[in-house]
Amino acid sequence: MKQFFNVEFAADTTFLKLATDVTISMCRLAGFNDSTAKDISLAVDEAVTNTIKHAYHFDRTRRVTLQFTITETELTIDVRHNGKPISDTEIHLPDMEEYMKQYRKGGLGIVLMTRIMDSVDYGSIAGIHYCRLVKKRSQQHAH
Amino acid sequence: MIEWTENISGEQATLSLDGKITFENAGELRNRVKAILSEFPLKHLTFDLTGVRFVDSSGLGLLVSIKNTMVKRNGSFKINNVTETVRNIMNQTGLDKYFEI
Repeated sequence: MKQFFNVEFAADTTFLKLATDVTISMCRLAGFNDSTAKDISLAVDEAVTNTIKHAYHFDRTRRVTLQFTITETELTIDVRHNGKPISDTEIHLPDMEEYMKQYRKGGLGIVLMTRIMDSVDYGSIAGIHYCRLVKKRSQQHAH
Repeated sequence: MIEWTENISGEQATLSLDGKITFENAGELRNRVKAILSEFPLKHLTFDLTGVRFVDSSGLGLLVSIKNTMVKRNGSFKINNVTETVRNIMNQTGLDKYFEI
């Protein structure tokens, strides 16, 4: 059985805290402990921030949608928008040793997301673009 | 929002920060550090993060760039009193080892 929860808000950093608070609540509902829930909320913070910065260029009139889907095996969080799509070719996972030696702006957000989540994917369906964050639930979490 | 106090003496400076270091204020903090480094002959810079509750990827990037800048000046950059939440964020990227926290 799937459980869904959607929340939509203006592309305004004012709402970042609300978005991460909702994420923590949904993670608890999916059976994750507080530590993992906070980690997942950090990944969502990065994905929403990227959307506001890169997809919408800080245009507060635009909207961001978070869709949470809980299945027997995983929690999926889609961060959706209809701004500038972020293509896979723009996503570079930096080598951390090189990154520290030769600092360049950006790049750590994707490191955080990929280390926290089991998968991070970008895509588009019918003009709606998404960053899909997936975290597997352990067996005892499944209802 | 981030606020800080500065204690500068000779070749050493400590910035005690309070709040969140995020993409919204990392630029402001970066500019202040640049100004301090151009004004004072610093060799050792410390960030006291006692009051810092959250650091996002932009904040982490700022810390890396400051450390690299200080190393290029043949100096040092340390971060002290890292809260559990911030330590966990740094662990996720391996930066805990880089900053020896």
